[in-house]
Amino acid sequence: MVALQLGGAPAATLGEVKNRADLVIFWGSNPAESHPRHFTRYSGAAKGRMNPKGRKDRYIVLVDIRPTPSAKYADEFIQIKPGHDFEVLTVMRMLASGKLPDARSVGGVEVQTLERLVSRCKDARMGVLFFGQGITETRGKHQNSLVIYQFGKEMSLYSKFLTLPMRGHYNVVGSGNTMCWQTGYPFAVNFGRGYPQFNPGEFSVVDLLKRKEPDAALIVAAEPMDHLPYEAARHLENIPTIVLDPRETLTTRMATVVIPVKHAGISVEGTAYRMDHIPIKMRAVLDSPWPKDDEPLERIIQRVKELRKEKAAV
Amino acid sequence: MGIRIENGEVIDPAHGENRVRRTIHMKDGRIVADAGLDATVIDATGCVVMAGGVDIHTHVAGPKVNFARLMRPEDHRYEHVSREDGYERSGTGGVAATTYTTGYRYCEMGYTTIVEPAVPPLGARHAHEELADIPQVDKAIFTLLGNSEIIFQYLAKGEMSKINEYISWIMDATKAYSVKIVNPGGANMWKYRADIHDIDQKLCDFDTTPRQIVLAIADAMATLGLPHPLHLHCNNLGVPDSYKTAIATAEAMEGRPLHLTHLQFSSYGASGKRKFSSEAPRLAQMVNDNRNITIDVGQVLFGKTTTITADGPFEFHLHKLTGSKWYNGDVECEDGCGVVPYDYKRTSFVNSIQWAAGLELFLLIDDPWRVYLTTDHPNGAPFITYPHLIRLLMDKDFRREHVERISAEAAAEIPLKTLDREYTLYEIAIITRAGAAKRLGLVNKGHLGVGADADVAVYRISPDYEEMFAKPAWVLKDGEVVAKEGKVTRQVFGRTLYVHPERGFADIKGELADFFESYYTVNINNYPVGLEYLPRPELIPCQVKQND
Ligand SMILES: [Zn+2]
Repeated sequence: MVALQLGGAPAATLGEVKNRADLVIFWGSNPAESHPRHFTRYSGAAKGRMNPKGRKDRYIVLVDIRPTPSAKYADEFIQIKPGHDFEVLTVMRMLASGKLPDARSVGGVEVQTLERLVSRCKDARMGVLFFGQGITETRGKHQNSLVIYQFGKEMSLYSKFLTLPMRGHYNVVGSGNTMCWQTGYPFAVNFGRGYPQFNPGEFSVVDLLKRKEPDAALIVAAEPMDHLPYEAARHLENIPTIVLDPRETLTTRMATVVIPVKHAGISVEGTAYRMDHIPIKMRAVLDSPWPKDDEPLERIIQRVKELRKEKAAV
Repeated sequence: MGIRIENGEVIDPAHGENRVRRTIHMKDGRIVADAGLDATVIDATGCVVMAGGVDIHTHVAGPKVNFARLMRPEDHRYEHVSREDGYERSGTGGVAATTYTTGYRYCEMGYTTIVEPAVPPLGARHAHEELADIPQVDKAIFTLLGNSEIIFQYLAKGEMSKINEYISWIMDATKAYSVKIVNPGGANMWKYRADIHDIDQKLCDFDTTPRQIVLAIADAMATLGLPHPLHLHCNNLGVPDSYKTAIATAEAMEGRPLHLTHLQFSSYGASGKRKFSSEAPRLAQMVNDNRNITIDVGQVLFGKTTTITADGPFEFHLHKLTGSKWYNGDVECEDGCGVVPYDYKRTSFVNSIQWAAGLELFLLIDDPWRVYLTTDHPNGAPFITYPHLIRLLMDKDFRREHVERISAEAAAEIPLKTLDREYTLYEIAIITRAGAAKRLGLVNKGHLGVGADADVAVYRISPDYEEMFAKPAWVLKDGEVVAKEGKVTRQVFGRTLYVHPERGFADIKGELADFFESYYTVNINNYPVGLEYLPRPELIPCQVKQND
């Protein structure tokens, strides 16, 4: 996200990949396990306008620190040393601009291999670089994404080239979009002053919790006890928490108050944004006795307003 | 209970009223003949009373606007609306403001209706989700169809009745109000890393041309009786000699109704030492000579902004030129978009020519009913600059002061320096509401006749027109006071205007399903946007021509 804010990116919806891409690179991503339908629907076997033969019309490269189950779907596997993504990508940018590094290999990869990859990118009808958590959650974080977007923009001088993050976690893209149209920022928003302020590193959940700043937490459809670093999650155990979730989770188990709600897309209709930002309407297929998740939230807001009025009257 | 606005000078160009002192009555959301004895009275002494403003072209919602917000956190930092200032919902400003802030700001300038003009069909659901979060104004979207592979496929086979059927279906599936074309064929060519440079150039993968695309869609729109005609962003926009393409496109229409949007961005020639010139006078002449054509200007004003357009190849060009951030978002089977921040500098020769060209269009087009005030928000400037633009049009001394501050080399060349015309309040009322509403086919908007929507702006008369239009004394939406002295006093939600054209031109059901199966990644059954996404829908009827 921060990388996108810093420089933008060449992107497209996944149908463009299905219809046109003849070079697909997965970098730090293991779609066979993390996004099992991605390959058949969009990026691998999918048939499209310029890819009538599907898989045969594409060259697929996997770049990772070890051969994952996705490797067997790739035409080429490039193994790099852990934590060397930034270096390897920077050398690829050099190679793209016609400069040679004074080393035979970088990050455990032969420079020749990278040269071949760069020229495939330049010659592609449409090249796509999908990058996953292996690159966004390791050393360098948004610097890694930034160098990927930069590479994508430079490749756009030669070929149609896209750089697309492999986002996961159900509707995280929808929550980012909604935050953005309501506050101007996709995450790490602080309303403390009465208006939205953005400062990742200061107002992001992990940082706030590590500093033990929050004295209460309202958690909606998130699993911080499972996903956050220990130190941050630990603070949640020491403050009152209200958790809205359809399922029993590590977080509901430690919550002060749990409000079970309908599961969006299962027992209540709703909208979820796909990783390429296309909103999909979700239908209700099962009944559930619980309320929709906005109902308890509305009631909490209502009650807070009443309490504030009462307080003002005193 | 009703409201009476007394003692104001009514400017209602749709009824030929120019500063007529009379009382405006309203009740139950409409202008009425008599609001009754118990009506609340607003004393508008010293004010003019106009219908609420109508913005025919402003990028305020949808995927690419949200990318513009996302990409410029620095732009939101120093401007915000806060609950402490009395707003129901906080937000941030800057050139791509948040949804609630957008609604508040339009309202605070006296605007009550806005059109988001460039939504790719796949982005319609997103756009409507944002519109639902824009308060204070009525709103509508135009759907982008000028790069639709479905239409191209039918065009190549000459199956025009299927194009009618598809456009009818897609209007309903996107809950749109009309159709926009951006760079016809160009966004499709951009998917092959190419662009279109001539209206008779063939696309690389489909046997059709921009001329054929534009004509087929315009004819289909006429057949369906859509209330607003084709809204067109020409090929070759933003480059020297763009004016030639604009003229060629207008001629290709052979008298069919056409709205040329942000024509300023198509008004450049290649003469002069810098090979960049304003050809606005020629385009103004073309508009004067062709009564089928209306335009909005897309005025450039100096300052930092963010450009947002479905014209992907243009944004790539701008990115290479400026080295700015660049986002590109091609949309499968449909269209594309780009986002690039841009800083219009008065010291820049090119930017000064652009600034002058817009004003020249305003001042040289004789009939104010056929030119509408826009900045192509935020492409030329953010919409909050409208009051400044109004003053530039109404006050020639003020304009002259500004001409003196632009690039001297440009100032020496521009036709603008010889133009003395000053817009009157009556003409401003036409280009900011009456004319735009009429061209949109919104019979209840842009005027103050009995039966009109009770959307009214009351401006306190001042020689400083910028001040006057920046802070209306009262703004009423649906017959309720919603802002006073340029400040929202009450949060309300307007309606979303949409059409539902007739069907039955051809049976394309099976073909559409096959197309979706082959080329889309979204199931056709999940594709249409239902009315549940429009919290307050208002169906605007189509006017189908009777065949005899
Ligand atoms: Zn526009």
